[in-house]
Amino acid sequence: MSALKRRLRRDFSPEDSEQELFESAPKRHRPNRTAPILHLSDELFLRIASHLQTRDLAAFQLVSHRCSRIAVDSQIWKKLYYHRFVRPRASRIPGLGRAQLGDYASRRSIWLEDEGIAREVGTNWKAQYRLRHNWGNGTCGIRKIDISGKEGDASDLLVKLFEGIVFAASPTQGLRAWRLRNHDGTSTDDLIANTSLYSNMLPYSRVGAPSAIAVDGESGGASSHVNVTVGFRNGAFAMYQLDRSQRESTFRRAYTHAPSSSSSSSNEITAIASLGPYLSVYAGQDWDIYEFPARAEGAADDGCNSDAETSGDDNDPDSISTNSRNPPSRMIHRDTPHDDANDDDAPPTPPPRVLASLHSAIAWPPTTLSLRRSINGTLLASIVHTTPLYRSGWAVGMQELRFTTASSSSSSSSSSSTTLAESRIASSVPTRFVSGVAGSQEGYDPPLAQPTCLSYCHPYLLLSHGDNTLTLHLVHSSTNHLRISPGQRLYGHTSGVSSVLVDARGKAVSISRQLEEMRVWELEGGVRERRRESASVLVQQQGRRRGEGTLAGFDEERVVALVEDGVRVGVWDFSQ
Amino acid sequence: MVSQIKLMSSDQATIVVDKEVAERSVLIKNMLEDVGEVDEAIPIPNVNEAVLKKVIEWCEHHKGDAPATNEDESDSRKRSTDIEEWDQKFMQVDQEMLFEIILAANYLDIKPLLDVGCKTVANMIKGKSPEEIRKTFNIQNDFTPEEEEQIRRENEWAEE
Repeated sequence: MSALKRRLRRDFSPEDSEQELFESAPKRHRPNRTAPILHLSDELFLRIASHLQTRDLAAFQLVSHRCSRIAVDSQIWKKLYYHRFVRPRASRIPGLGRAQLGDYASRRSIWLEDEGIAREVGTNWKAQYRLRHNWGNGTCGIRKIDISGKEGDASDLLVKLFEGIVFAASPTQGLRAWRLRNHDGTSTDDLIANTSLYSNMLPYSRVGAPSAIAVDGESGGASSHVNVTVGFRNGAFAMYQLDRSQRESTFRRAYTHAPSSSSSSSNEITAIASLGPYLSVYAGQDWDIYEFPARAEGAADDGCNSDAETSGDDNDPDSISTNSRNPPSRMIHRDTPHDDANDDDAPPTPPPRVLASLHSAIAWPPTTLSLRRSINGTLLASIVHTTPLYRSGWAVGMQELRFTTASSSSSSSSSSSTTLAESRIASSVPTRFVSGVAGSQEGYDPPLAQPTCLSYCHPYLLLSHGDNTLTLHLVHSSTNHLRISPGQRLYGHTSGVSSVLVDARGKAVSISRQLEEMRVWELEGGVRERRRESASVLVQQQGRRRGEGTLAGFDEERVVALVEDGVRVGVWDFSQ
Repeated sequence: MVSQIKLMSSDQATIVVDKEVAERSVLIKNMLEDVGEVDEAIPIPNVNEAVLKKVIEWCEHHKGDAPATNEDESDSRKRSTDIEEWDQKFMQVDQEMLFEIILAANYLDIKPLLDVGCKTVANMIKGKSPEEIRKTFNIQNDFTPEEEEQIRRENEWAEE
């Protein structure tokens, strides 16, 4: 019995705990006959609050300081977040039913990792909930960045969003970068770096206006460097590296590729994809895939600081500080890709190797490129294009090149082990398709007009049309086959759709030409019939739009687009 | 034969209860496992007679319930503040008693009772304005008007 008493005393000792509680939270423990609820510990308060929904939590937060602290607790919001966003998402994706998700923490954390927030310690779950809530309702704050563009400049202006940085390339203003978020998380639109696009060996008169822009998907992140490639009208392209390692960010031109000498009528670069050392460029009707030597990757990576690299950086004749417009003229030689003779003064980035070069007899815009690595280390480069069907309608076609990348420990940095293993093609048109015969293709409904825009982020392939609709295809790519699922029409817009973007998680944004309408789509796992009406939400507009718009990108928090015929960049911020 | 045990409340009252009923409390169950058969009354030092009787009344009614479900399932049900009818009636007590029951359920480790208590309080909060919540629980407003305004602005999105 004495053991029992001891145990009880250990579990609850009135003297001890009274003193302890009194010291830690006098208010809580002070006898308060008038408000018995204040006898409860914070832990019990939390238990009560965990039964409340957002609106009641908002009211509860306003009751007192103590209630306020409880009402914003991350544990409560994490539960609400799961309940509202993660579970429904699980039931939407085939093969991942509710039952499976119900059963466990490890699976949950995988889900969270997908959300990209579990890795961060101290996630503000209320802010995350609010962000998703706002996306779900199309609620956002809109602000504009004045990029001093001129009306009518839009066709020469290219804008891209990457990791909260807006990149813009313009023939008159050069390449500029704005940061959308301060380190303390507040919104901003600071111009952090700019450089001229052109130089002596890359003069505007020779290369023309910029026509395509891409950001290396493997740069950024923990690295302080972001690689941006800009393509020009005459087929030249240049790679610029944003260096954020110093207090002041700077751009440096890492590589310049002279226009091709081919005599084909147009060499304009219309699409670029960039991934680590790989670059995929579509110019005129030529599709080239390049691989930069390992050193280029190292330079981009920021990781190593070898002697060669340091000296390369220090003496780099091509590095252009923010305002310098006159790179030394000796660059001219080095910049000519076929002129290897003068190449012995250790250029920062040697010319890339051509991994594959393909030519198409006819080109039908729009065209888009994609570079991705599969889990087993192979590189997949694809081109997606549209094709007119005989008599009526348009189909989407794709060619995918598979490269094997053996990671040899060869000391020679110039030797590459990336080799083309396979080339495959696929089309959205079923083999039994008979063009022009309506209703005979099991619901297959090819668009009658040429698509206005296409976006491919594996496995989602999304096309926009002038007839107010989108078409969603899912790409199946395995070792055995490459297949594009029949298209599924998505309705929601009330005017022609001009621009569309989709990400790897199936979230998409689409806009109409005059930006009367912006829609956000949740296409993860495809859209089942019963969800077809609710697959998108209309983003609430503030004020009147005027002029044409082009999408520049979107991320977890925002959509960025060039607006007002290229005069400004619009930022639709859903975190507010 | 039903074995019985004795509990002693903080105000020294002895209550005889079926062992099976008392074992709804995980605390008591674990103690009994540790010490085996006892004749003496088990002291429950921070629960008074009235509250202890009330808690035992709840345990009596729920003695036939299936054992507590696993954490995950209760997690999904937590969202709903549905309370079965008998429990609703059981919880129709003054606030002092309500919070005493919650404290006792927490101390004695009777999770289903703790949940019923917390849900009851949550239901008293639901649908009310901050001022109504303060009145209901007699809580002092310790915000300045500026602080209140700021929170209100931050939470605008939550008012659907």
